[in-house]
Amino acid sequence: MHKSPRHLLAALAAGAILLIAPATAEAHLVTTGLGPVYDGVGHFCTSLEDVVPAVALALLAGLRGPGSGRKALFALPVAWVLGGLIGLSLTPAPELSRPVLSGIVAATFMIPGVLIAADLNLPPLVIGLLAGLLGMVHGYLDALGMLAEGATPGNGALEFVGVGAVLFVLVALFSSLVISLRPAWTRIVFRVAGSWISAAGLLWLGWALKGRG
Amino acid sequence: MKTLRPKTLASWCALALLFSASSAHAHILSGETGGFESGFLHPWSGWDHIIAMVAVGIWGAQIGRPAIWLLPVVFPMVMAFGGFLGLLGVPMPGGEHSVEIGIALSGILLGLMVLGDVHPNRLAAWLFSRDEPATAARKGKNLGYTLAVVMVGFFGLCHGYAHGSELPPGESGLYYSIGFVIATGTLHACGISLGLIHRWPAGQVLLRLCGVGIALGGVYFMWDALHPEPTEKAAPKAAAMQPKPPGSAGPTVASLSSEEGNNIPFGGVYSVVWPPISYSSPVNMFQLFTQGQKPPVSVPRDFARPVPVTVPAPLGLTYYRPDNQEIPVFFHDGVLRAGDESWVVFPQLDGSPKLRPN
Repeated sequence: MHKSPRHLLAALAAGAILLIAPATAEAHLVTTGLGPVYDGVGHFCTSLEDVVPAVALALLAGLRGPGSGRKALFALPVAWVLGGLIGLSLTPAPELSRPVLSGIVAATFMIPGVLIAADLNLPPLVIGLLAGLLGMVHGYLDALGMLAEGATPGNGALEFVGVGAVLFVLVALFSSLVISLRPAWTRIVFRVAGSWISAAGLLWLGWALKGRG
Repeated sequence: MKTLRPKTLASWCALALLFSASSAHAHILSGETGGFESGFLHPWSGWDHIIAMVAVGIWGAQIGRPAIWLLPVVFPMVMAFGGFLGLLGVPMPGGEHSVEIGIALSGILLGLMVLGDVHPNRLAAWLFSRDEPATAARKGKNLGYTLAVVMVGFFGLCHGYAHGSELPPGESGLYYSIGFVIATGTLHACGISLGLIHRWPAGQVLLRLCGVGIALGGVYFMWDALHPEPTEKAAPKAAAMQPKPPGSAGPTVASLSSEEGNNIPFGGVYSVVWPPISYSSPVNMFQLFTQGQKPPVSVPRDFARPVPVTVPAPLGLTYYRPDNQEIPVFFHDGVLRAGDESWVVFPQLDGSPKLRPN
């Protein structure tokens, strides 16, 4: 069934709002007042360094078809939560310098971004493994950040429940959007977006290595 | 015409609101905001960058598919790589001067490509003109797009390297990078949008005129690159004229900021406010400088390369040089470096100099 490109425009508008309203972006603990699960949702949604790689992975999965989308739909949230739980269980939590942290996260921008731009014909298993790896890395780093900010392992685990839920929704929405759009030019739009994501990641990597990221 | 169903519209609005949720935060981190704004504005900071990025979009639109999206995909990625190299300080062959020449050359060549409505595959097919026409066309097509991508990539590398400048302190590298890439893509999109008028004869003429303007802009920047400002050459020459006074110390001054403690915004004219000093003579002569004069200092707009900022020499330093001889003051990498170690003496300062807006 053909979907109108208006869906793409609506998605782009949502993404633009996300990017144009960065003033409230917050990489620290978020308190919504609604409990740790919603705190986790808020934490994820206001961390661009988490949202962008997840969106990129979802776009990549969508470009590769429904099979890859289904793999990513479960692999990414589950791996993210697992990585977070592993990170929360480590005592004392390992300390990573900011350049190293930024460099690792920048790499999670670049890898999916380049794969989107190149539009390589990757099998669904590879997409699933990539989603799992990305999820584990980000979940682990998120957990380290939570512990550094004083979160307890119990609350942190509940926050990751919220993170997993929003990831599931995000991957479902973005990958299904990509799959549903038929016009050829829409595929080009996503490939351009992938190049932008990888370019931003590469620049950020440079800042991180310079010690200013 | 199909319209969005209410449920679908509502779902997208909810998604937008979810991602823009702000009520959970106790404060705003200005670093992220400032970083995105700085990054977004940076590609617009120079006409040499603007005309090249727009020209890439126009040329891609003139060539058509797949160049219309291939070139704007390649340029940001390679530009980011150039910025990566610039940030790490990787030396380019020929130094930074070669980068400036490359940037100017991008304006000239891309302008000529737009002016001539050059299709690289036809140009490449001419190279295989001795083959069968079908073979020549096929080989030319493959090589043509490759040549276009390589050319655009090279120019992207030069532009990115030049952009690898200092991130303003207190700002986020992530948001800066995202803003920077979005601005670059926006410029490409402007070029592509403009290039779509290629479908009409009048539009083709207009685009060729744009190509003329772009090429002329490139010529101007090439002239500027080949003929740097005279003050850069005068400073070493002036320094060579004076012998090094015995016991002279290095003139480095660090941590430049305004009197209010804020970062120095780009552009503007300031007075140097020197802090008090605590030495004996020849400091007395230097005190005449700190207390008697506050000469104006023009802070350069572009910190991508060291640009001398001249400060008139104060009365009283006749021991070292004639009156009113200009002291080159270099603002580079966030540090104000005054003069040349061979002939300027700055005794240890009790604090750092500040700049007061005129």
